[in-house]
Amino acid sequence: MSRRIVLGSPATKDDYYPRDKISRKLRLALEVEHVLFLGPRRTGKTSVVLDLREKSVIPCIFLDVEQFSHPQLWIEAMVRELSRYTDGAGEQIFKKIKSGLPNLQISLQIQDITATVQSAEKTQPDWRQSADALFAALHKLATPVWFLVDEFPIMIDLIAKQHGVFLAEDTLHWLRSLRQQNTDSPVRFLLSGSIGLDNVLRRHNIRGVGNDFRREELTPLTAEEALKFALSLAEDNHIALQREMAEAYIKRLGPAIFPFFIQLFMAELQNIDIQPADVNETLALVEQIYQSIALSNRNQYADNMRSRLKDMFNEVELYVAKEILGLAAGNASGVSITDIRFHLNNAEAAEVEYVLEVLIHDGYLHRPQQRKYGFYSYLLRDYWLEKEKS
Amino acid sequence: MTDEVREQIQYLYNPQRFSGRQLLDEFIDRDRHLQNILEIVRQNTADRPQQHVILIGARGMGKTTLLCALRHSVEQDAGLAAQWLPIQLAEEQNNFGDLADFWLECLTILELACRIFPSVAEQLRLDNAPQLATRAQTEFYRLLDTTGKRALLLVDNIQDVLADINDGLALHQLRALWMTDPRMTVIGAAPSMFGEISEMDQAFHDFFRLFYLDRLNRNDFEQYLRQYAQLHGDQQVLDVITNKPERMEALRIMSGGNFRLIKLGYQVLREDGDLYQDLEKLLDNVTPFFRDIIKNFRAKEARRTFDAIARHWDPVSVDDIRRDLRQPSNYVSAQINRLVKEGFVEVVSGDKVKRYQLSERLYNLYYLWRIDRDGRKRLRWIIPFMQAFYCRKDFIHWSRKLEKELSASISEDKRQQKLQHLNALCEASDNLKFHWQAVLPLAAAKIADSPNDAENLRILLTDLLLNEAVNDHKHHVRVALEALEPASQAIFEPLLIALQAEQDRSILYRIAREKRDLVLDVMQRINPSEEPKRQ
Repeated sequence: MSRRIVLGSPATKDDYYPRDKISRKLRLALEVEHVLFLGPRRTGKTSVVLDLREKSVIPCIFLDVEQFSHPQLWIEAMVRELSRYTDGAGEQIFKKIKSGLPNLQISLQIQDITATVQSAEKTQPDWRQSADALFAALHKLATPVWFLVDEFPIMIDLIAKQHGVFLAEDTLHWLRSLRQQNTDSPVRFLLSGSIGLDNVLRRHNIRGVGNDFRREELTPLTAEEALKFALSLAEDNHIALQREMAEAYIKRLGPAIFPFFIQLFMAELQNIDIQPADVNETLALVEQIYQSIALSNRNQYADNMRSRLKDMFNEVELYVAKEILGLAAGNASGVSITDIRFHLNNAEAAEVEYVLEVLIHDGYLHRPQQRKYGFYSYLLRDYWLEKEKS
Repeated sequence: MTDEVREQIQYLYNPQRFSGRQLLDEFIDRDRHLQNILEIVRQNTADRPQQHVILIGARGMGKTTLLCALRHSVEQDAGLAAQWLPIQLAEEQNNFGDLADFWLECLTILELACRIFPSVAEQLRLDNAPQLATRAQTEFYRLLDTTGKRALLLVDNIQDVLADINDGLALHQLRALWMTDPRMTVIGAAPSMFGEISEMDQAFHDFFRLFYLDRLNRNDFEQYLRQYAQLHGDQQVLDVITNKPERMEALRIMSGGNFRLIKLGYQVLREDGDLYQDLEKLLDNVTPFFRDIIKNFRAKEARRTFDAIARHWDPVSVDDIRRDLRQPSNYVSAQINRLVKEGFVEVVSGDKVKRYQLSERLYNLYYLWRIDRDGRKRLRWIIPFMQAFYCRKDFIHWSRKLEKELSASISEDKRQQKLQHLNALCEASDNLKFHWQAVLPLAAAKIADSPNDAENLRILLTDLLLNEAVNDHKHHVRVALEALEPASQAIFEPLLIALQAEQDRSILYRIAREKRDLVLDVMQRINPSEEPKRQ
């Protein structure tokens, strides 16, 4: 089956471009411990996680918890998804644990979900009791189950905002005790998210609950992988893509080459009807497409990255972050730490260090060979420059 | 307006009235998008998650027509029709209050398509039972499964539908369903990016593949017009494209590359005329559709705000309007936001200060031309300048034309008039290069005094000024133009703005789109090597 140009929803099955290295790493890691798998939106995390679910022989329960503002909703969703798991092993798991969950009071009929969820918001039942019952039952089974929890940091943030930091902290403590007290349990969590968990914890002043996860990162495609992907995608979608054109575009992206950016390029190519006659025309066309992706509101990736800064930092840090990004955007060769310190001589050194660390960790900046700081993605850098201009 | 024209225009606003064959035969507007989306539908096989789509384009850019074309294309393609059942929600869906209404409406349309009676949807509505949304959804899929097909849901104004559901959790459930259940593909349309898909904390953030229905650029416009004329066998319009490019350029600019307006303008190009007549006829054609727009604003505050924005024509800030309305800024902001939400007004981006203009640009022209007493005067500059700028004739051409006219048999009065004219042209051409500031006001005043007789002089002056600007005398030209009296200056306003914009690009964000297009063309003529960025 051919690979489609998928924009928006995660690429799965035949549409997914295999990321074997990270898939193998995640599988091996989950066999022994819980994993935190973070990275910005549009880098393909969810696709990797869904592929893991698809190919894993161990029952994997995928949950998007972005909208949950109470741990009870999360626990209920885990049970619900577990009950829906159609593979033989999963059904077996649920049948076995169902009788051990008298206190959950969760209706598993689809039509009751809304009511249950709403009641959870209103009544805030003793969620810990439900959670402990679920995991005690799972622990007793001794059958491996992997919970793949997408957008976990956003849920923690939402819990803290809507129900107070105490409940967010309590949720994280429960998860930590589960990890620490049940070291022989085969139940694993892979927590993924597009915002950093550390930022959320720091913002709400929550300490000592997130540092015992194994951390894995999604690295970009290499230029060769990206080229292979672009050419195969073009072929499958009957797009006349010249090799030089693909190479020129990939080069234009900078270090952060993620499949989504290739998909965007293909979508643009699909919508135009020009075949360049020579090298100059090819380069001009690539530049035209790059500009239309980078500078317009089609660049949702950059727009998100830009707007989420205010969710990541407090007011002072935000100022520091914007100044650093401004400096890095304005210098094609990047900006040195000396220049940053000189420019931000009023800011506290620790603050600058922290912001730099977050900007690197969250995919804004990179620092090849520990030299100058530059934008990780040129799509983001050029969008940034354009926005700053106006 | 003839009945034929009236019918054509009605169809432009209601493409649903076209039969499938009629619509597809004439569908050259967005054919590439149509084929690409049909390919997406073909690739959305039942064994994988569906790729859902949203068309983004301002009013009149062809969204509804494209949705109709998709429906008809699927119905008329045996392979697709065997798999897909198009379900098209009405363009103005005002009865949605929650997710239940959404599913009930889908079920109603499906029941109609399947000729099901009595209606289960109606019964569900009457019963108003608990879990109504889930029941309607279950009934919908149960009935759909009996057809052996999957649903191609076509939702015009999807931004309103998602906003009306107005329940974060329900929207998340809908997203989860559309992401995992392959029995439905959604093709939506919206006039612009909207919160439910663009904001990070919203359920449908980044969920759809977006197709932008952009304005037509110059090349695409000419190609489209030619194709459309060929399709209708209109030799007269093909002749206009070749011989009277200024009429075509004027239509391009006045229509803003908007399909609906191009088609409205196309009717005008079928007849003989000049730019003034074209604009008069165009505005006459749209009168029945535009007449009542402002009367339909029930709230006085909305009407006054709308009127103030329309009268400015160029994009305005809250501060500009505040002065006109003699109201505080927060009051004005609230009124403007309401108009933006309802789609009557749009935000013009690119400047630090938020500016607003009427979304339907032709309506704004209509408003100034027909309703505002001074509006027509304010728009007068645009037609003569366009005529001068786009007709691509030069001084030699006009001199020869005058000489030819003089050699023909004409009355003595006319002869004297034309001789004076020729003298004025020669005088201006000799002197301008050296005495810009002395000669230009005189020449401009002459034009302003007798706009009809001075057409050739205006063309000559425009041509000379442009040539001088190209030849690196921009500064002198700009200073000379800036020194003119306002009435004289108005004649060369696009050129002056183009020269000013070279120093300060933000000027471009403060002028109406039609003017901006013209100014950008002037800028390109002054600096042929640069392609100014269009917004």
